[in-house]
Amino acid sequence: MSVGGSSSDQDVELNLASIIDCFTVLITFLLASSSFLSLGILDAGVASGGVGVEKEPTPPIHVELKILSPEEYQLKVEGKTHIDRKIASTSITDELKTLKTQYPSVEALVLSAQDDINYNEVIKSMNQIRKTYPAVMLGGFE
Amino acid sequence: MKKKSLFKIGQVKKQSDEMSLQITSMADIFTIILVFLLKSFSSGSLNITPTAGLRMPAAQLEAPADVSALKLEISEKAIQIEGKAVTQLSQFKLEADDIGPNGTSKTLSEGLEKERKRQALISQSNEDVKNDSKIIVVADQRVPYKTIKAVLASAAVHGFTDFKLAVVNEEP
Repeated sequence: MSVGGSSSDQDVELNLASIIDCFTVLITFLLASSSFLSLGILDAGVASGGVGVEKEPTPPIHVELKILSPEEYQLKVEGKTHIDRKIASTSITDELKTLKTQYPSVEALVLSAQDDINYNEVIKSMNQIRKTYPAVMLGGFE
Repeated sequence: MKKKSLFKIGQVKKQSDEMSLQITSMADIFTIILVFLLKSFSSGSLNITPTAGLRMPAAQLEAPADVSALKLEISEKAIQIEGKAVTQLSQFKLEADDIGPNGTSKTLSEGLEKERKRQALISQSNEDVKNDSKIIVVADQRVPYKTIKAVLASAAVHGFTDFKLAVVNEEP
């Protein structure tokens, strides 16, 4: 405590220049390395051929789905049940769920398509099928 | 009539020599931008740089994968292996003379054969490196299934049987 001393009020000015420098560098780096698209991976196998394909025990049914057009699919089931019919794209999930309920041990399905079907349709179908059958193999190889 | 002078003597305003830069607002903006970019920053995820104009299909995935494998890209005009064009395409389709009797692409098969030999050479000198059957396929969503079949068949014949199809993660 000082008697008769002058007040020690001082105006402290915050120097933002160096903070701005740091921010500029950080933002430039982050903008250069940022990715606004999140990429992922869909696992797919090949239904026939190739080296290194492991043989698995024969499942009770073999399910094959072929994309005829974006609206129409052909469902083929062989084994303990025989099915060969055309189905609408809107009823794929229901049909596969019915099969899954009957044969819960079957985890794989073969997906193929007409030659002119776009890759986007194949991916959309895989996305839908994976909810019921997690292992989707691409087929249609002659 | 008295003329009004624009310059009145004795009433010249003093201009300050000092000019202070207002950077408080800039600091606020930078802070907000920095917080946003830090939030969206992620490292170690799948690192793919598609060719300009390539539109990847979208799918809903549980979590983005971190996979390191051979990258094969199918665009409108070419098929590239690790960024190097090996096969020419015409509007996403293979040339007729490039398709072999078993449905594979001859030029693509040559490129994949080279990659296999390179991997075998590396694994000979480094025991930790083994022949990898994984292959990441980055394809445009407009590629017809016929081209996809030829590419997959070519890859499978050369031991690349574990296909990882790269897609854009779609929000559910």
